[in-house]
Amino acid sequence: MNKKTKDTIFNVITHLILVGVTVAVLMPVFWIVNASLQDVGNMFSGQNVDFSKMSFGNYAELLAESDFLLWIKNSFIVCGTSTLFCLMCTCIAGYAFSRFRFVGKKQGLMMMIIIQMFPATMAMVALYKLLNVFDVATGGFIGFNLAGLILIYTGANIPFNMWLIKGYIDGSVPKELEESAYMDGATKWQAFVKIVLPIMGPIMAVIAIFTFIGSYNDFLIPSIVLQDSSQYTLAVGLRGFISGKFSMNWTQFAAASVLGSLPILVVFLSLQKFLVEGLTKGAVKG
Amino acid sequence: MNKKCDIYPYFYIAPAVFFVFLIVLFPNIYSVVLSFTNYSLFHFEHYDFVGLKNYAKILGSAEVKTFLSVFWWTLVWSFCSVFGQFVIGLALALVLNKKGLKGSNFYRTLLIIPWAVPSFITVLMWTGLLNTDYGSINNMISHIPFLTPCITFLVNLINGFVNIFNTVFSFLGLSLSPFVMPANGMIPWLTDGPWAKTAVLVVNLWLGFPYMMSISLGALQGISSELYEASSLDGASKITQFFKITLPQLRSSMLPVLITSFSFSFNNFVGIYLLTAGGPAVGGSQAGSTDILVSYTYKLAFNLSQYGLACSYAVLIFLLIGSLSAINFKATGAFKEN
Repeated sequence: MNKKTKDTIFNVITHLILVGVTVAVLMPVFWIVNASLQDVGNMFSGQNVDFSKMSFGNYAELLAESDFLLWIKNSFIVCGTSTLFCLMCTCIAGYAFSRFRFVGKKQGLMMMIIIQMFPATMAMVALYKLLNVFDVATGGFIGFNLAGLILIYTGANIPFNMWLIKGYIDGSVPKELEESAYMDGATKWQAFVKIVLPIMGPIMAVIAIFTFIGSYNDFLIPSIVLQDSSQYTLAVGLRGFISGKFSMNWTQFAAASVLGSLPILVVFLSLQKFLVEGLTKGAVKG
Repeated sequence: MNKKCDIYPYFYIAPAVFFVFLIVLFPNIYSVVLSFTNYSLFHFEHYDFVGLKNYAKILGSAEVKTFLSVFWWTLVWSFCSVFGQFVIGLALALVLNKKGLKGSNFYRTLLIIPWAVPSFITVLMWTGLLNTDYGSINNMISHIPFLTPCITFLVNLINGFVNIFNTVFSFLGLSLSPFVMPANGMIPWLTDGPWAKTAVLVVNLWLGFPYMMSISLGALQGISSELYEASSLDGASKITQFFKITLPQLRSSMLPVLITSFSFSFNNFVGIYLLTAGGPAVGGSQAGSTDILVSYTYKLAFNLSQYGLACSYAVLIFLLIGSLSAINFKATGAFKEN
């Protein structure tokens, strides 16, 4: 057998394995998409997939009858607002930690690393109690509601993101830019806002996407914080929708899963190379 | 430049530091404080310091059995998750990294989907797929001929080992529960202890392997091809190359990832709680058979309102995970950056 035939056979086997693995991995996704298009009555009576009876009825019912749109809206409010707050705090602080010299800088940086070691579960009881205090102090404005959730996500995402910003400015923003601005009489604040901020676009985009997706995907904190069903985010709402009501809600739940994943899936897959590279680099560097 | 001590940098860092103190630092310290109190449903408004009583309770005769069995399962769960994800991820990465493979990017995009979908959605989705009576998994098993006899055979085989284990270690009071295979072949994935453990692990492997695959691919591409060329000139086989070049080269880049993944699995609340809620219940214990330390702590706090005790568990988890992170930081030299 010559080398070429050997290579061809090897290639065919490789593709067969890959197709097999991919089909096996995507089987659950296929089942969900299929369930979302089936009638709930047919779903459990007939066991075979009936392509002729597929419809978007579940999607229509989901949007019309359940609180799905409300959950999505709440999720977007919380994730969007906390991402914005977090970005504002971390950009300014990251810049100061990168460029200025001040007493306590080293300790501050150290603190930002060390507190990343605390697992989220460590603080949950105390956060619950803290929100209790805020609830009373602010008359329910910041408490067991979306505002409380925004507050928690803003703070919790700062340490990691601030390190990313600081690292980016250290590595990719030349000091000469600001020095020439100082020559032209700019203040420190002006140099930061007019010169440095505009060229921080890429890192700000990465941080915004990570922070948004991270908060969108979280279940632990909203399950503790949110008590009123009108405030539920997608994670808490969907769990209530399916747990204990499997046979009744399965097909609508499937539709909700498809709709709820789509925004994240589209962003993730279209920016795949960019995101995976950033994530893996970050992970490999620790 | 300025010699005097300026205060303007503090204005820049003030908002960030304020939020970090309020939301991260203070609550974590406060949790430690609460772990020394009897804060609970019955002592909600007024609670007292009780010293080490919560810790003594965890290690005391009534609770220690629960603690040890939950801790043991947490270790098994974390280790099997990381090891399985790594093996599957690396195997796929090795195949996808083959030079001249057509459609490599296409496969990679499809295989990343379990990672790209929000995990709470995928885990909830699996609760439906694994439903005993209506789930697609049992439905599929019942429709593929010979699959049920194969699974029954495997189950009997494993149960044989379980029996041997139980006989050998009975003097230590250790015992494993055997798998139950119902006569109609409908496997109780989420409602029977051993099956539920299998199910949460399988789901977690499915969720986690794309991440390992992506990282392994990046790491594999970082290995210089000259190493392989030189060794094949020396007549090394592919298998020798894998063990003598690939694995040692991956070690430095993958070890921190594996440690981080281990602590992630250790704390993977969603992977357990949304699938089985820690259940099925175990007689004589507040923890269910799939409860890991984190989900048990959550239950103690928010289902059973034993806040003080939950905080003690949280502190124990932190000590375990914190020491692991410290090793990781030391290994990767993160502290050297400043």
